[in-house]
Amino acid sequence: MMPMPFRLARASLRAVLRGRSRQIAWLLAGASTVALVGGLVAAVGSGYVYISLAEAGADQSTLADAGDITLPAVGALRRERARLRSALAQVTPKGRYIVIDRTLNKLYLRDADKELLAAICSAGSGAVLNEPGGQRQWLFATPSGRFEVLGKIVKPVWKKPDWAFIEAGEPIPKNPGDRFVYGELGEYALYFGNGYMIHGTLYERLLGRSVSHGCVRLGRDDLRALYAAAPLGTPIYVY
Amino acid sequence: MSTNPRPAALFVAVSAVWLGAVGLIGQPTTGADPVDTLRTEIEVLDRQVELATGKAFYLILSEEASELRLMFGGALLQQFPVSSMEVGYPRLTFRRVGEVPPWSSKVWRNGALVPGRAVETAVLQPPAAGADDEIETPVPPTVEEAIPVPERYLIRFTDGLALEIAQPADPSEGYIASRLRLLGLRWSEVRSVMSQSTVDAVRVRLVLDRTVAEALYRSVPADVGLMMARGRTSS
Repeated sequence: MMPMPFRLARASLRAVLRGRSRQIAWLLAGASTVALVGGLVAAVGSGYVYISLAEAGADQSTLADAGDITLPAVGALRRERARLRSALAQVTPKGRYIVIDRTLNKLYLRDADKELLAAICSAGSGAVLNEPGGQRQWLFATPSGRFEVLGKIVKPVWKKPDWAFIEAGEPIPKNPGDRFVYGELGEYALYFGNGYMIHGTLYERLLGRSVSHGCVRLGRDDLRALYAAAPLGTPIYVY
Repeated sequence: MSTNPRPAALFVAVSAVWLGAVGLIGQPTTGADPVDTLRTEIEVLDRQVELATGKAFYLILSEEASELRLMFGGALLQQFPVSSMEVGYPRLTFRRVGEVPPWSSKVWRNGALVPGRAVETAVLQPPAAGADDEIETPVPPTVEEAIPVPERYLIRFTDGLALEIAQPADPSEGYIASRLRLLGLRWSEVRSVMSQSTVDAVRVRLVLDRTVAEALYRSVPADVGLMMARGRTSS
């Protein structure tokens, strides 16, 4: 049973609605229109306002007003500039360097701002292999960062690691001599540490796709060109 | 022996007028203050050294060269040409939201793609040891198949700056479709500012060709840094 005050309020509201339904409808329509127009105006005045970079940057300088600059002050500025340029030069590769885009599977050989070679490669697949019934797990990814050509190998021989046997469903050999595979890595290899190399492939049709176990595969002609042009110590940047 | 000084004086006067006319005498009246130029150069170099001596990938947005450069250390890794650059500030009912940070003189860090790249990690199932059946290795998808690229995306940095990467309008798109697309974009911006949760203090909108925008999305490294170079940069 509803309490008396609520019953009275409900009855009063009904009476009001009956008597003034048209006025209330107009009032509601008016309020809705005002809310809609207000919302539209607010929306028009909200969001992001864009201006050109040059225009926006004019008031962005954090430099203090130069004021009266004396010759010793200009000298100090020049020395500071020279110091910074020298610091930058120390981390800038001198001569040739290799760039590998492991997502787009592209390899470049650059010399300063010149591009000497642009090749399609195959980087790591990013897949994971778990040892059946074991504890070991391997991630087949090409590492990112800065490396160097640490070794240059002609007719490289692949010493198959455990994962290669597990992936193929083969027993892991006890005799180390059973791990060597000839010819699979192409004519040359450029070793850049931790077991990673840039080498050739028997599966050139898969170049451009991320299929390797972490090494970087190149086509025969590009590998020949890279091997000839990249000396030991050439920096390698992988991203 | 007497000499007439008039021809010599005349020669000096004419030479002075000529040299003045070709700009060899006196100070240049146009161009930037060399001290300001020097200080701007130092400011840019200082940030570049800060980034180059770190161990993270970073982007340099060069206004002068109209390009975005991907760098590591001091090495230029990739260049992405930019068609247009704009800076956007958020506003709510015609009023600017929050303080505008000094975006052009700061190193921005920990850039992350929004929406992020959806990369699936495949788990290989090796065949049982000694199984006779030859396993057929599936051909993995191409990068185009594996990583679809949204028409617009952000690289959002901590502390309130985001690069908005857009592609130029498709000329084959009809008038109504383009209006609806722009309206949808505008509405998403309004919603983002009104919600306050994902509002960026500064958005730098870059228009890149489709292939360039796609390449950037697919290969920009995680936690990338950014600096904006308004003057000359060393690359």
